[in-house]
Amino acid sequence: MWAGMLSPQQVHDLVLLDSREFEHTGFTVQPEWARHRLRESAWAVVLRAQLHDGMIPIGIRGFERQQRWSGFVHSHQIIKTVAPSHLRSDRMMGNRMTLSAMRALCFLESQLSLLPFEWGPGGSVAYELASGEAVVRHGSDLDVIIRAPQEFEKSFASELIRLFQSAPANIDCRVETPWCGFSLEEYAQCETRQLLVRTCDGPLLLEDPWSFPILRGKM
Amino acid sequence: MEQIDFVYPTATRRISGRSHVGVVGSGDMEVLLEPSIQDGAQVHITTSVAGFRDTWKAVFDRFFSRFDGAVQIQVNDAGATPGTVLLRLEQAAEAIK
Repeated sequence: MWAGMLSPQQVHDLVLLDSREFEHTGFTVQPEWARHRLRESAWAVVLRAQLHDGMIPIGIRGFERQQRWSGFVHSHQIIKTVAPSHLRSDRMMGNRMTLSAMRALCFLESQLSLLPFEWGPGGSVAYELASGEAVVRHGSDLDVIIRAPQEFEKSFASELIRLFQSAPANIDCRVETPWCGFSLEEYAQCETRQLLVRTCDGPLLLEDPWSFPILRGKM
Repeated sequence: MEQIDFVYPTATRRISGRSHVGVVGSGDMEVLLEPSIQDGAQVHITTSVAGFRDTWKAVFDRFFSRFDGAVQIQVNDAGATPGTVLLRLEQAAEAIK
């Protein structure tokens, strides 16, 4: 079971945690910066991992780039959940439009209105739009999440990659099927038949990311 | 960016193919694998995450305990986990068979 199957939260969603509640949970090995961070702003991202006693895997950002901490929260500790598809440039603070990653998001909003899948930003852009905290930097990539419950062709992936290449920032796109995630770029360009997919049990190489390996006796 | 180099002098089986797998996206890496012009294998890693030389060494030691091709490997890493690194190396090796 992974986050998304049993809970309304899916990997890449941003969640607002109740900091008061947070103080009373079993977070034993929190570094000092993480405790400090959670008192200030309690936004976290849902991670790809097994649910742990029904708890949801989350990650928080530190004050510095390399500071990342992950743990688990109970669903009742989550006050609000925001999916990438709900994060759009209208949430942006006015002066942030000078950042190429933010301009790239506006570009995609104008270009992807007919995309038959839910999509939205991930990474620092998603965090900034959800929390209002200025974490995007000059030169930041725009991470993009596409949720694709149904298979699409490699030729369609190639078209999207070509579109992304004309955006004002580098775009790193992850496609999420109901049970794994993979790189859109790799799917479009894959020289070998196998693709690296990320599951809640770790990475795997396989041919069809929409086909659940248990059904094929591979796991 | 940190640069890391390793050599594996006992990997001497001549190979002819070349492969390119993976992508430089967050938590991932690309691998370029081609025949070595010297004896043995050489590995050159460029990584955005500094301070993990020992981990890279352990992963490549494990890879070359099962692979004996005289290859030149270039890795461009954007924070891949050791599990992802091994899968990418296996994928690159499989592609030259």
